[in-house]
Amino acid sequence: MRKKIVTSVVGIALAAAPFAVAQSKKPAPKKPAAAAPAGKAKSSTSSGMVVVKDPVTGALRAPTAEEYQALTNGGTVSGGTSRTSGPQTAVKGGGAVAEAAVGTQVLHPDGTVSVRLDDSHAVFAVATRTPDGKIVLGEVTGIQAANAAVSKTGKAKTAAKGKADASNEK
Amino acid sequence: MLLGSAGLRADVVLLSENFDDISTLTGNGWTLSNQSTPAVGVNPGWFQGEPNTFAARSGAANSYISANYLNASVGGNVRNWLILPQLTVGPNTVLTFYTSTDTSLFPGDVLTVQVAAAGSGTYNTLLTIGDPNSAAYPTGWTKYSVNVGGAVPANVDIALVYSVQDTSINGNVIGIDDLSVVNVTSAVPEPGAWLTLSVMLTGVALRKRRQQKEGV
Amino acid sequence: MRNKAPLACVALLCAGSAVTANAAATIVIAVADGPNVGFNDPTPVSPVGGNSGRTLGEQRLKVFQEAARIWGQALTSRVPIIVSAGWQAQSCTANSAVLGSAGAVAVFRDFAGAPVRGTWYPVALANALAGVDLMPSLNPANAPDITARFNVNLGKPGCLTGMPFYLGLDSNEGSSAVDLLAVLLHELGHGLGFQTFTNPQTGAPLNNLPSVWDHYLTDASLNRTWAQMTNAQRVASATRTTQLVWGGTQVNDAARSILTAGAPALTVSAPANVVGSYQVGTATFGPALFSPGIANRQIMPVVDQPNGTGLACTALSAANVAAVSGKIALVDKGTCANTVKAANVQAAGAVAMIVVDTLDTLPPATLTGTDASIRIPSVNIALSDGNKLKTALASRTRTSSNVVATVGIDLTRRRGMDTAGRILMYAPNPVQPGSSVSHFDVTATPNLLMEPAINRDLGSSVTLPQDLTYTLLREIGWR
Repeated sequence: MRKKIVTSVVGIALAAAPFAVAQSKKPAPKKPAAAAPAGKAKSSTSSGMVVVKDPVTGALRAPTAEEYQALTNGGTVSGGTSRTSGPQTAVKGGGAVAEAAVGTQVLHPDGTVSVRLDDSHAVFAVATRTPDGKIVLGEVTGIQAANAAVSKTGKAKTAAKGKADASNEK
Repeated sequence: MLLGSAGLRADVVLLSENFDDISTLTGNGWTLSNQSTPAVGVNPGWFQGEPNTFAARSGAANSYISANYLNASVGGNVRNWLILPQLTVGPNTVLTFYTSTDTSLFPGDVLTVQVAAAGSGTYNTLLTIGDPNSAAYPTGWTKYSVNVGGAVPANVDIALVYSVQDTSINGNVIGIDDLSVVNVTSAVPEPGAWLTLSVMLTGVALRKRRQQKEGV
Repeated sequence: MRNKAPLACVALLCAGSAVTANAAATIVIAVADGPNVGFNDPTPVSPVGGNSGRTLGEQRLKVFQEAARIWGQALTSRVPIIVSAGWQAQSCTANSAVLGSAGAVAVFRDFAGAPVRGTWYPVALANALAGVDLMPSLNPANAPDITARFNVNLGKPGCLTGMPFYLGLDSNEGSSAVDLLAVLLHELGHGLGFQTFTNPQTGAPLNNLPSVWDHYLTDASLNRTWAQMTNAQRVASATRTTQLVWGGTQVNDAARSILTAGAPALTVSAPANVVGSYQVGTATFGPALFSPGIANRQIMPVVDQPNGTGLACTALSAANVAAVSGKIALVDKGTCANTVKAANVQAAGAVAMIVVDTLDTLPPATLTGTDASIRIPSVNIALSDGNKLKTALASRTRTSSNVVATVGIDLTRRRGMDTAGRILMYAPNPVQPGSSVSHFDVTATPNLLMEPAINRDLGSSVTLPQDLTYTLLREIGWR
């Protein structure tokens, strides 16, 4: 259940720049220091903001402490951001329009067709330290797979094992 | 050979097999049945001859049929049956074949020729090759002939049974080639020939009884 | 048409921006970080590896600018390529972390100038092909073509602890840092089009239409491109290691000029039903494989377990010595070190050792270990390949088998290509979403930027003669 919540939160979490904050006009909860570079002041404005979509109402709101914890805790999702995050999303009417556009085929007057992509098509680079201290770099597509690869490092290790070994022979 | 007297005979070949392609055997009425215990995961059963083991007696290097100690799992007992198509044999029907093993370094391969009334499943052993109590298995192609007929014509099952006791230490591989079953009839029977034949049949009957007791 | 001029970008993103322009293509780094974060982190730092930035943020930006410069020099486009770049917390544990991500923001098809109709192109490529910015009609805002997000916490306690990004520009990251430039060049490569939008796990194309990638991704065993397959065929193809290849001549011609001739292989020449070249993992002990290698020797298995397997963890029995002497010994992985197995079969007179892995992973893992006394070559093969050989070996005698093989270098192949001269694409079994299909195979030698793992020996080139990434992007439409 916890995982499901996290997943849905990830999809619409907006870690926005100050510009975006102004656009979305959402309350900006204070981000824990852990998510910001160590030793930084001014965290309320400098570390962006996080909003979540209420699983019941569907409305965007500030995260509860638990949701925030889920988002920022290491090993699961920490400050996860999706392709829909960032200034361009915020500019687009507080997210609603952009959300509808993701994954939807748009037919343009000249016959061009486009599809806006979300994080399920982004390629994530993942690094894993193997028991013998080597760092193995691998990749996964989609933020969910990326998070899984990190929290279940066994998977990441398996994924990259062949490579680590193969590189030895070169 | 007991059945000499060329010129007076009219041999009828009931079966002739060179094992050029053993995948055709089943379709031709043969039965290949590995009854080894315990069974092994990868069961080679009877397989086409391997040129790296030794070459066939005739034809292509692999044109013989073979079986090995790996028919049973490690330490098991091999009983691998090669049963000919059912044949009607007379009093003078002779099975002839050649067999060989690879090396004398790994004894324990045994091949028996057994005959049963068709469908009865009760086999009598007529011949044993590689009997630990007698001669070692031949390491080159060696011809064996045995009369598989009874006193009166009858339908029979003829089987060649490859066996190994305790594969952890015994057995290796055997090959069989150029097998035939021939009805030997005399166009002009001669008294001498009849005499020879009857002696031979008696010998077969005696051996049958002895091997039934041994339960091979 | 939206204005992608640097001025607009700066104004929009107030936190700061970087622009790299050159004769070929303009890549704009649109900074998406707020004050004091990411690119704006004011922490003072010392210059490193040619990066003269004086704050952490500046140095990060210079690495992005360098990546933009490298890609901008290689590519040609009349439409600026906007990369939304930011730093933020991403998934971490002490021993693993998401380094960063990148991807195309949108895909287009059937635009004016599209080379293949009914086919998805990532927006940056579509813009370049169309010669105009296709995005305004989708999103009137100054939207990026590619988003790149990197992990701001990397190297801190609990986030791949002690392993930060190396911010030098000289690919000299050492062993305790991750080269940001290489990771960035790689990730931008994906965003520019080095990926399929078809799902390799389900075989389902995006909105039922192929990506431009799929017109080149070819299954040698089916002699079809991914665009010509059913979903089920694509799923099967995604794990067909050594059969999934790039079908385009530009990449393959170039690959033949830069990839090393000769691939390690176990080449079985008899019997007919197992004949072929088997992928092997090499060993860190014993002599290196050579050509032709241990040629045309019989394979004989060691059997020392009740179930018929052979671990060779103790001195071989007389029967096993008789079996493997002068032969290529086949042993099973496990229980003891690979070097112990090698020493035992070597003592028994074996001329080479094949280890059958407990996994079906392809390519098989390298056999690790050190033992200077090992004089015979060893290779590792996948479990299923080992089982195939064992089936063929069931008709052996105690001293000989019909399975004849060569352990060595297969000179008919280049490392990372198939015998037909096509570059292998990454198709591990089981499938690895994100890595599978959208990378070159890991056997490519020398290492390529777009292998699934970012190797430490990479430079910072995306073009020939060091790398094939730009060549591939050209093949799918970039100029």
